[in-house]
Amino acid sequence: MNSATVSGGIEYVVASYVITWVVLGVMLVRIVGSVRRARAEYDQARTGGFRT
Amino acid sequence: MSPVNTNAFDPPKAGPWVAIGWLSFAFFVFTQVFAVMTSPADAMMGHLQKMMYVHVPAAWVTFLAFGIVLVASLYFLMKEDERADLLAASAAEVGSLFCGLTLVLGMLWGRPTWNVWWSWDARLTSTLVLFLIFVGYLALRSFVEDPQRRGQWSAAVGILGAINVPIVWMSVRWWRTLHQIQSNPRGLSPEYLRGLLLNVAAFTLLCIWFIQRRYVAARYERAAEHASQAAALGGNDE
Repeated sequence: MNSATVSGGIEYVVASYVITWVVLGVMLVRIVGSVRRARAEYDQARTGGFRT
Repeated sequence: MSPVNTNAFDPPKAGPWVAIGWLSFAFFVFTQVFAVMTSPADAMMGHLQKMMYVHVPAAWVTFLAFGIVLVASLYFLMKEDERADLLAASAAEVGSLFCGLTLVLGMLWGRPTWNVWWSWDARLTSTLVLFLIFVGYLALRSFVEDPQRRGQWSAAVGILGAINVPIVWMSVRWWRTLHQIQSNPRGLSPEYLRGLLLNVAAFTLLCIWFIQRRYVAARYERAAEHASQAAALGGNDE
């Protein structure tokens, strides 16, 4: 990014890493959860008849 | 209407993806710590330079995910294989997330360097347009019930959105922008380059893993729908 010399701003660095980790963590939990739900749904549909 | 190719009705095969996911996350943690610990403060940017290890990889995997949307959408339009549509949708979902993350990280970097959170310059605006196109893509999918029509319409939007990727990439060269032009890796000091390349690799692995898992979930959802319909009609899908 274009800039003159910048000093400090460590709080922006920390915020960017925290946001990245939170977003990726939430994504991980949501995706793992969606795979488990979809697989359970499939097993139920296959063995337990149809859903309404 | 129903899709011509119904392979998406079969449940996906199991693979080593769970292990690959945990290894990817472990690698990601390592690369983040490694990059932060080994890169000295930059002469111009100070410690703000360390934002490069999250902002640049997030932008790269955004382009990667939307590239997958483009290829899968074209394949769907040619072969009408619903698996390609489900793959495109999975990549669009993950790509949108990374695109949103790229925008937020860019704003966090822009505030201390440019003294503004946002500027309507070509790079930022074209990235926002890219993000909005794919949010629209996901919204469109939730409104259309018929799988074939949903696949065709979303493939058209997906291709249109992916065409925006080279515009985003070249925007810093085509127009005068606050955002700097792409750094040449050969001009980057090795202590910064190592961390950057490692983080790009880690984000790439995570992105592919997210897309693959989301795709598996979508395949199970379609297989469950099909099994339910078959049971309701008194058929046997085994």
